[in-house]
Formats: sequence, structure tokens, C-alpha cells
Amino acid sequence: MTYEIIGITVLWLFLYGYVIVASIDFGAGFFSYYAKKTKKDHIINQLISRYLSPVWEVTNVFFVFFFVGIVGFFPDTAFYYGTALLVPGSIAIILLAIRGSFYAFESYGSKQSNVYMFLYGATGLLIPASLSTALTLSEGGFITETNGEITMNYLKLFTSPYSWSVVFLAIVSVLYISATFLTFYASRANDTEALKLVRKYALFWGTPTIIAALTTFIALGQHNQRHYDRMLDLWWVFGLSMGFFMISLGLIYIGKYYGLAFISVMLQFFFAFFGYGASHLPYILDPYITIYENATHQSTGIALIIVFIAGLFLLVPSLILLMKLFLFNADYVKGKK
Amino acid sequence: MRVEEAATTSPYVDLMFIFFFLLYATLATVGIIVLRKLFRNNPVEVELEKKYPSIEKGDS
Repeated sequence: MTYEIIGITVLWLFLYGYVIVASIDFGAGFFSYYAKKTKKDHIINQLISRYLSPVWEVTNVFFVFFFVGIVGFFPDTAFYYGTALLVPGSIAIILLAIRGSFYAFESYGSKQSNVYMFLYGATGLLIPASLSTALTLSEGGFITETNGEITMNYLKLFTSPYSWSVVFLAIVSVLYISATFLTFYASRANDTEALKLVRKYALFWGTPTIIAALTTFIALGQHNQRHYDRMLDLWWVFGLSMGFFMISLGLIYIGKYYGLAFISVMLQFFFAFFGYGASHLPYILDPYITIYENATHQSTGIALIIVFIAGLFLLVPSLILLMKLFLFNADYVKGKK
Repeated sequence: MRVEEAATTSPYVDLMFIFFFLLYATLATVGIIVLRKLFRNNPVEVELEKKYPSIEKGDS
């Protein structure tokens, strides 16, 4: 195993962590708005607001780590993606700012503002959609380099079925991950009313997740044949992902072992995410950046790997501690604290 | 590397500047409105009484 492979794996782990933790947060925001809209907020808002407050600060740490890591490890990514992602990245930052500030306005300001809540919920779905364009761009065909100048073909991006299927997959996955987590969380809090509602959400968003995954798969076959073939070589990884999806949906359906169901969802996305990432290699940006040609010097690379693994060892236990202290503290979950 | 060589070649910098300008303008306005609402119709005495109803009035 070369140091490039280890580096990209560690970075991919950070991105995976961000996908899971941020999905829960984004989805919870949307469900909070949706429940308000359908006049069911009195059932689950207690639960969601308990979840949302302490954790959402931590999610961005994963993302920042990933950014610093990828630019440090593969300096050319800054050059290519920096230009190409100016628009989607700026939109994502604007949406993040709107989301964060309107969450604050909602909780401190006027009590009955549906507009604030709408902005909070809607941006939760639009942020993953705009961030997912980075993955679409990485497949190549949208970014072209002529004489050292990077141009991005927005028309092609907006008319590509692949790019829309990725956006759809991102939104649906966010809702599914979040709904399964909230189901688990509600069962931990012994909140039967809320559990009934979020379990319904989880069951509802299960099927679209798989449909979106298959659509994306087919659309990728038309967009990037090489990547598609590599994915077919790794079929067993995606098979495992599908298997864990079945387990999670089955467990939620029979209404038992919600904790195990959520772990299955995490494993489902773990295998899908790493299967996608592994088949994407050696390209980071098809065809301009590969992990071998554009990696940083070996000594820097190894130093970065050590630092990032140390970072993981710091971040993951602190996340677990945070969850123990707040999220899964029995009194806190039930709202007694 | 000079500044002009390092700058992005993306032609959308102006547009993004407008977006960010609008974002901060909106946030500033809404922020001021929310803060005003928070303190205007909500004097400290009322808030304290609501929070600590057990303390009797005029008790010093």
C-alpha cells in the first residue's frame, strides 16, 4: 500500500464522517420544518430540538479537516477545484450562513415565524445538493483546461442527467440517514409518539434512496464508462451496501433494534461511499488529477497521514464523549435536563 | 507568483460578490430586526419575573 492510497483513504474517512454527521443535522432541520408545516411539530420538535443544539457545531470539523487535508496532500486540487467550485462552493457557504443565522433567529427571535423555519429546513436540503456537485465534477467532462486556464461548462452540468441524479441521491440519502437516526433517538428517549412519526419517515425514505442509488449508477454508466466498469468490478462492495440497506429497513419495519438499524445504515453508506471512492481511483479529477502524479512529496505526505490519524483519534472519541454527555444521557434525552 | 497570477480565472467572481453582499445585507437587517424585537417589547423585569416567579416583588 503506497502512502498516496493511505492518504486518500484517511481523507475519505473524514468525508464519510462528515456525510453521516451532517446528514443527520441537515435532515433533522428539514423534518423539523416539515413537522411544523403538517402541524405535527408538537410531537417531534421536543426531540429534534434536543438533538440539534449541542452537536451541530462538531459536524463542520470533519469538513474542515477534509479540506485542509486534500489541499495539503494533493496541492493541484486547489488549482482545479478552486476555480471550478467557486460558484457551487460560494452557494454552499451562503446557504450555510443562512441556515445557521436563521436557526438562531428562529430560536431567539419571533416565536411564530414560518419563514425562518422554512429557510432553515430548505437550506438543509440545498446544501448537500450544492456540495454534491463536487462529486459530479470529479467524474470529468465538466472541467476543461486550455493553456493553463480552467473553464467550467455550466450548461453541460445543468443538463447532465448524471449531475441531477447525484443531487437527487444526496437529498434522499440525507433524509434517510436522518430519519433512521431520529427513529433510534426517539426509541432511546422512550418517546412513543415521536417514534411512530419518525419511523414512518424512515420507512418512506428507504425506497427512494435505493431508486436514487440505482439511477445514479445507470447515469454514471453513460457519463463515465471507465468508472462504471471499475464499479462493476467491485460489485460485492455495493452488494454489501445493499444487504445492510435491507437489514436496516427490515429492522425498522418490524420495529425492533433501532440502534442496530442505524448502524446498518451507517455501514450501508460506508460500503457505498468507499466502493464509489475506490472505483474512482486513481483519479481525483478525471482526467487531470490522479493520486499518484499530483500527490505531495512523500515526507510531507507521511507527516500529514500521521497528523490526520491522530486527528481522527482525537475527534472520534470526543464525538463519542459528546454523545454520551448530551445525546444519550438518559435524562437529557427525555428532556429532564 | 504575483497576485494577478494567483487569482482565480473564474469569470463569476463579480456575481459571487453580489451574492455575498446581498447575504450580509439581509443578515444585518434581519439581525437588527430580531434583536430589536427581542428587547423592545420585552423589558428585563418581565423576563426576570417569568423566569423566577418564586421571588416576591419588592423583595430586596
